[in-house]
Amino acid sequence: MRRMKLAVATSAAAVLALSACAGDESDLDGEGDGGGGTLNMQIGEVFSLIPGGSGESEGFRIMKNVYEGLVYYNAETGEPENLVAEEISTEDNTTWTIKIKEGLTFHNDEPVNAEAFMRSWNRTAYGPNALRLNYFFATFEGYDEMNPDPLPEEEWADPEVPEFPEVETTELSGVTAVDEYTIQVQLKAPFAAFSTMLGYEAFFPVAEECLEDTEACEKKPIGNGPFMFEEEYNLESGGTAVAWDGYQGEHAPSIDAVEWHVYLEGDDCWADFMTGDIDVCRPTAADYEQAVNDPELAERRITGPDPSLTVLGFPMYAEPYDDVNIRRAISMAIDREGVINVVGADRFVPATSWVPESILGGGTGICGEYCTHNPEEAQRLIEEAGGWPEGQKLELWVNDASDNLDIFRAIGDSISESLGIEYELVSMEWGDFLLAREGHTVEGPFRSGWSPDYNLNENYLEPIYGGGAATNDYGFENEEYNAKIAEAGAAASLEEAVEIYAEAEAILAEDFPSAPVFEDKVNFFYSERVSNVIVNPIYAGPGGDAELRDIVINE
Amino acid sequence: MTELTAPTAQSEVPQASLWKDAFRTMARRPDVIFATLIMLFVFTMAAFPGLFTDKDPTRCLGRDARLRPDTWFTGEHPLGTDGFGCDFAATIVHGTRPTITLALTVIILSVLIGMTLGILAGYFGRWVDAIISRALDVFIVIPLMMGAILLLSLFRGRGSSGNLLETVGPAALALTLFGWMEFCRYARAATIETKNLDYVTAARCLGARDRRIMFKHVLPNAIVPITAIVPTSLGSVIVAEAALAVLGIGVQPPATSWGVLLSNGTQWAGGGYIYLFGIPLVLLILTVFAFATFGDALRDALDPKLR
Repeated sequence: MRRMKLAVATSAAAVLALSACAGDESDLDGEGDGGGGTLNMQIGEVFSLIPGGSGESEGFRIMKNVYEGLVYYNAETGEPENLVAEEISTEDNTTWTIKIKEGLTFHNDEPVNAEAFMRSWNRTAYGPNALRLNYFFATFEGYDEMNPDPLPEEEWADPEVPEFPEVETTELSGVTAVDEYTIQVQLKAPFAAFSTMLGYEAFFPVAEECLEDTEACEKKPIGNGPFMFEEEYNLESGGTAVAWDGYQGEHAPSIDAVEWHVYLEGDDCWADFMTGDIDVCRPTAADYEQAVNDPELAERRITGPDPSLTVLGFPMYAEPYDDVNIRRAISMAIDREGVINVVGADRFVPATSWVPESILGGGTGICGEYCTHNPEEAQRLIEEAGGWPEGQKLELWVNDASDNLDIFRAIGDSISESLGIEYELVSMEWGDFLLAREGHTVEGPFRSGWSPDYNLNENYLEPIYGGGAATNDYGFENEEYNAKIAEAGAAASLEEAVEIYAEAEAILAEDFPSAPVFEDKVNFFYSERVSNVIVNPIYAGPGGDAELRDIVINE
Repeated sequence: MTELTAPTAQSEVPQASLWKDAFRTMARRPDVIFATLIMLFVFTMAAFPGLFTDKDPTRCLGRDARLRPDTWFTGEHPLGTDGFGCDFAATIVHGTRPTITLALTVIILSVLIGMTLGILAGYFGRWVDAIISRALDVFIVIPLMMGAILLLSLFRGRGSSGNLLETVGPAALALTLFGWMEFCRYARAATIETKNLDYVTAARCLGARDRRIMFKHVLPNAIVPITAIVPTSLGSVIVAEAALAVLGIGVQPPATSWGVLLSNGTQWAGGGYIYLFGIPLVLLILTVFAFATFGDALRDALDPKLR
């Protein structure tokens, strides 16, 4: 499963349960006499708290503070900097040697060594575990042996969790421990950007005790990061992580604890932010204008680029979307500025390429005229494609979380106005929506959002459009494109790779499997009691987020 | 046979003058005239939206979103535009039809169900009355809102294709199911009162069947108190629809009703776009006021004892 923007799908009962459990934080405030205090953060639905199992923004926001990876992405540039790693080196981009700092431990005093990392990687790479970030290890030597073809779908107990035949191999043959603190990784093919991936959740270490009882660890993760859970985290009511006394790393927080407050199903934190119960929050479109016009609030506003990208994907396997002119026409029919005006200025910027500007190698503007609103040209393209099928409504498929329906209604209104065709929204719950996309049962343009896993344009190209027509959601396949991606992986240096990936993006632009709609923009407000609020340019939760290791509580 | 029809014909004469009297009394009251004008305005809007706006409410330009109605009733957007850039005047005018259709459907169905059951219960008494009255008690105990919410949650997320029946169907069903009781009680009481009157006894003596007595002799009497509460009930159905819409389970978008407009407007009101909330609210209050005033006056006129 890939890392997509926060999507929530829970029953109304969950929301009721949430409101019943919220607001029991007073007992914690007394403990922090070191001055720091407890930070109140909003969070959405978390899938997992064990590395490799989450693959979405919210789980990662907790994990990156409870665990500590080999590298950490600099909060200003997004560049990876060594954290647990002492040194990461390679000569041919295929064999990588990772040296780990000595003497670090987990919250339960287990050592953080090569074994701790390999334990985690082998677990995620093992196909039958069906973990969401399994695909991250596809480039590793020995991955195929651990991931045979899954059993036929009819035999799965749960239609969303694939089941596999018995697999003998439980360890990646491409990962070996040279000594207690050195890991050697053998990739299948050269991948110049390998080290940029290592700060992501998929590569975090796991304690032995955690794997002995994953159910308990899921609730109370045993990490090696600066925060630890003393009490269990609850998916519906959140939980509190306190600063860990034994933290020896380099990036320690100043706050004593962070309490996560859960908001599900289109619920948002703004009302609680206004009463001071949440410290960092994003206003909804309706509240946005008032927030910006409030001089006092405006001082506590933080803006910046957010590399989350929203695209309108085309089912290239279905008529009439198999025609590139239809795809281009629909893209040109979208008045991106107008849509942004509806859903909140400053929340998005119109996208002009398939990789956002803030990502390494992004912002090429390759989409050009096809990402510019031009109703006449759009109509001409439709004519050229033989006209819009008589009497057919344009179906826009979208998952119902957050304000997606509003956004896609605005997009639909705009297409309808430009092309003179009727449209309707087909809204689904997140889980069903994912299955429909993967199973190619979607019959019209659909919503697709992507937040990066690491700072490289490759992450917007290969995981989304690669794998062949049967695998990706779009039914897109292009030999030339696949060859370019492979060529870039084998490039001698990162810079060179980035350039070749950009060429692959140009091939993508020719085929137009999706229409880039907009890039997100961070637009958060923070409370009076905090300062030094930094939002990571690569990873930020959509509803409001900050670097917990840097934020300071003033009181 | 002539003897049989003669008394009936006579009994219709004072009835006709009862309605005429009522009309005369009401036409003299200025508040009733004002209320009638509002009702006419609303019904015309529902029947002929084209008279009030030439804009298409589904044509929405994102760039024009949330234009305030600075020109008021004139210009390109007489009442500004809503959050999606649709003309707000057109949205309101076209939202009237589902609102009124729903209210009328609910009342007609409720009157039919309530009156039939009420007359049956009052006329036959005994076990028929027992069953119907107990059912009545059960439904009266369940609050309208709770019942409607429970029932409508079954229809959640099914969306609507814009077809009027599909749009208002579930809400109409729910509101009818929990809205017929009052009519039933009035009809039952009036029937019990009427069935022992001399002319009914006379009709029975002359060999009239139950059905004939119920519909020819009892019904015309029972319908008077029911007519008096219809306008007031219409108003309360409109309010109930708005409440359901705010909870997100009434009329389903993309179709609009006043309730849907109100509920959409509330989220913008806090952000400084009070007109998106205020205009539908004023319209709703005026309409409910008109129905209530009219209903009150009608009851006074039809039943001078209550005055």
